[in-house]
Amino acid sequence: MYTNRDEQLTAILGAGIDSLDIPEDQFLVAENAYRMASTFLRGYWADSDTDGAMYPQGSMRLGTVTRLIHRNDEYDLDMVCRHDLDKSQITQTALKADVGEALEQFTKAHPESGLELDDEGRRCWTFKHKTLPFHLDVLPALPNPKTSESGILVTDTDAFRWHPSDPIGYADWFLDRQHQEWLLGMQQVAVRQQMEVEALPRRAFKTTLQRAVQALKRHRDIYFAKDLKNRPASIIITTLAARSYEPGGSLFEVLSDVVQKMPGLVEGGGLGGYVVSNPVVPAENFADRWRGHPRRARRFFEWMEQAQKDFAEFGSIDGIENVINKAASVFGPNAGRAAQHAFGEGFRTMRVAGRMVMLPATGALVQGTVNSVPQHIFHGA
Amino acid sequence: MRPAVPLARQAAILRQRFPDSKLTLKCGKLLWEARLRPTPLSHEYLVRLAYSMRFYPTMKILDDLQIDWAKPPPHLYRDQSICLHDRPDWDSTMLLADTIVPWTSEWLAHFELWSIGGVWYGDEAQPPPSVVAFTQDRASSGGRSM
Repeated sequence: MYTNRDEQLTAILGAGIDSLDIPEDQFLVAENAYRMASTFLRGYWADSDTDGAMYPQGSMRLGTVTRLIHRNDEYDLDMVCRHDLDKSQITQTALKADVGEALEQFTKAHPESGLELDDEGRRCWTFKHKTLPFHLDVLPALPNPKTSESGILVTDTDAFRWHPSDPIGYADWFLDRQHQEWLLGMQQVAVRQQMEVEALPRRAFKTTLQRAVQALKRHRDIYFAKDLKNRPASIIITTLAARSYEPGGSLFEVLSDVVQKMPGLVEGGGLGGYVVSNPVVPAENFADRWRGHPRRARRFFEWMEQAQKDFAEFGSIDGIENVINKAASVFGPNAGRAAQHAFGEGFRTMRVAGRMVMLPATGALVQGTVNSVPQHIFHGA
Repeated sequence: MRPAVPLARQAAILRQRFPDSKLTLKCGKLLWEARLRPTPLSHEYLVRLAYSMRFYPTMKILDDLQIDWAKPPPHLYRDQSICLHDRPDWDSTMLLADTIVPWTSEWLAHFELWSIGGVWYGDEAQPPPSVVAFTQDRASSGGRSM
């Protein structure tokens, strides 16, 4: 489990952060649903001699899905639904209606997917699952012939100009940032599970970057609980974190390092406004949404300062109860309970499995096998 | 049958492992005081071990643990001594430094966990916590901002 303070902190925080992630069984249901939808859509649109696809974007693609504390710990999974038409052939309004109609047909044809239409947003259709706590936000899109194969055109907020985007390209950039750590981690998982790396799903190993992004999104949600509309967009947090990240550190080291560096990577700040450019579509500025809302920029930097303070505090707290209570205050009570449970169970089974040793001078119990602490039962009183 | 470990050897091993500890050996009784930090993230606790070969060793926590005796933690007596083992777990052929001392650290670590919400992980597996909806938590905590 751990041999020193940093590793113990990583184990506790890691367990809390892991509890924020989408459980494997729900992930598989969501994955199956969108694959089913994609297959259906291709058949449905083949009737009009067109093609298309549905695929995940955002946190589901990046491996950073985080429960929404302000929505009963449910999940929002983002999807792109691309219909292969030319933009000269269709307006944004018509595309949205077209995708909505196709997806409605899908849910009727495949009730076993468990999906039903929940809401119509300005740009997206939202589906909920009948029994599981997740929503799929589906963004209609066209292919963008001017860019790479993964480039798309999506509706803009003014519903007039098509807005170039590339969520697949973005995800590839993000995953590439962490590739070194991911590959090493996957190799260790493969050895433990006695499988080939290629046979394991990508999510079999979560990197410190992915977990740091989850931690920061949750920290943000709690900090902005009473000010949700001013909370910084996840894409801003994700981009700045990925830019700040360097492999080789523990989860706690990476978290501490990333929150220190993130504010300095926001460019601009003068009359031109702030810039957090999309690494794969540099003309796209994720901080554009702060223009006209100067409070949002200020709140972002205030939040970063609080995150820096909170994570620094973890480095100086004494007492397991204080560490876990602090984890509960920054990640939410459920995450605190998950951390407590994981540590408590892990600590006992460490001794039961003969993997607990005592260090001299301090009497600290850490992982080891030489002269391990013998079995006993606490008794009496 | 292995012989009992002499008091002098028990004392020597304790001194060697814990150079900053205080130890007296007089009239067949060993008294040992040391500061233990049960895990790297834990607090430090002052403890006292008393052992004469005629009885089981006793270990007491000298720091005031601020116990509410209406709802005490498991295995702790009113004088803050701890019950660390069942009869068959320990005998005088064993080294105190290899048994009573690490078991004390173990109890202290579980005590820190227990003081969060009263769950004791030291004896048997505990059920995982149920996921409490945020809205319920917010209601019960009086809407405090986190």
